[in-house]
Amino acid sequence: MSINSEQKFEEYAKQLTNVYRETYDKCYIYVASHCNLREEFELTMNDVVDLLLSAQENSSPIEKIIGDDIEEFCKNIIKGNRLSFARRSKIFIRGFLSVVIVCLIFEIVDLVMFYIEPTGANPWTQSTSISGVICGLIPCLLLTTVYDFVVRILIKKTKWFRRKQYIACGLILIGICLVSAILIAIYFDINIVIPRFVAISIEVLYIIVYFIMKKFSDKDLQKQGETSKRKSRKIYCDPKVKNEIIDVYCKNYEKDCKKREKKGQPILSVNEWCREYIRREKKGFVIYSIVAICISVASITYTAIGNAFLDTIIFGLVILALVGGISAFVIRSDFISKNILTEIMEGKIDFLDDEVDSLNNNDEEVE
Amino acid sequence: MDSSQLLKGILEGCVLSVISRGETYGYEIITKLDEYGMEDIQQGSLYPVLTRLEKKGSIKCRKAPSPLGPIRKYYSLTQKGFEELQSFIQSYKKMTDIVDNILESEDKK
Repeated sequence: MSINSEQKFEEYAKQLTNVYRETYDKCYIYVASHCNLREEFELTMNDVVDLLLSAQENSSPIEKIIGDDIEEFCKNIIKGNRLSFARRSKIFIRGFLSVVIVCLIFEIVDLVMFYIEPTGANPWTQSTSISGVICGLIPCLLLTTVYDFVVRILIKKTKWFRRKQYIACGLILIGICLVSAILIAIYFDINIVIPRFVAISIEVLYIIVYFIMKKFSDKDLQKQGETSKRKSRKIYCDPKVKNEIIDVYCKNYEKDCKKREKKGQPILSVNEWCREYIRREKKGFVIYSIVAICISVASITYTAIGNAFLDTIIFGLVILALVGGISAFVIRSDFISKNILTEIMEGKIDFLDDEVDSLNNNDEEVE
Repeated sequence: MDSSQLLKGILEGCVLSVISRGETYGYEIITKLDEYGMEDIQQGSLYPVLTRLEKKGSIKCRKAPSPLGPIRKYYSLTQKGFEELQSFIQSYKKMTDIVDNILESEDKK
């Protein structure tokens, strides 16, 4: 059974051995400490892995590919993968987008509460605290910048340090960020307040700027002959899991063939069986959606009767988060399953076991 | 004289020439240049050249999975690149003729 799955560069890097693996590790550290954006880092490392794999395949000496100065090689390869200003801005803005959206939702809920239970004050000009955001952002931004700076100096001074140390340092940094945010909030008694309309305007503006940058970024991608990540997104499935799913499908198909044979019904071809399977899964998904919507609406309505508005909102959000999480899992599984079945139909996966194959052939001979 | 300085000037034209023979990728370009005797060129020095050519619009890049797995950048020549290559060939021939003449006349003296 063979699969043709889309893997990340780290998966492919496992094929590297000896000096090629050592070079990969060195490049990994250097690139990781010099690329601030994950996308840029992945693009660069993908090039490095492709190059090293090709060199390994042809047994080319590493010096022939990298040269004498590995630092210079990394610098050049990073330069070749620099993202455009629009793409960099979009990624940076996206980093805080979820925080901004959550803040905006809270502001809107707060605003609605004012209109439901009026206090006499103008809800738009009332003060709103942004201390939490500031307390969290300051240590994160400061410490990550300092960390980046320190790592770069370390690489220059000690030439290279191991990947495990690099990851351990990163984990320590996350811990320090969390502790500092809590300490700042407790000891410095920061209380920054701004009028609500200002907070909402900033948040809305932030979201608008994100979409403008996204548009420019997508244009850049189109120029480079790529599609935007969302459009070209393929759900990643671990090869081992994928193989197990294929095994299950194979067994199911085998069972179905035997069952039909016993009943004297015509055996379905692989493509017919896959189409039937997709149709059944679609039906199952529709039933799941109806059940999920009914349960959510019923439980929220039940809570709304005889409970405070805020309690209903909180309960509703919890229910939505739960159902959303389960739905995301169901949709993901559905996508993976559909992709595998499509690949089987296109002949990209060697699906049939010899036993089933012979069963099919027998059937054809009988016909 | 350091031959690497001389190489730098003509590397762009050589890379364009290699790409003009058909869609290719970084490692293959290096291997071909090496076969022709350009042993001093490594991937590190090739990358800036490829980026420069791509930004100028002389070559275009297509990303596709390589036979070994990872996504690979495949380069091909654009119309502008083809014109640039023709212009490079003319200028290079003219320049080598001039240099040859100078060196030959100096030898005769």
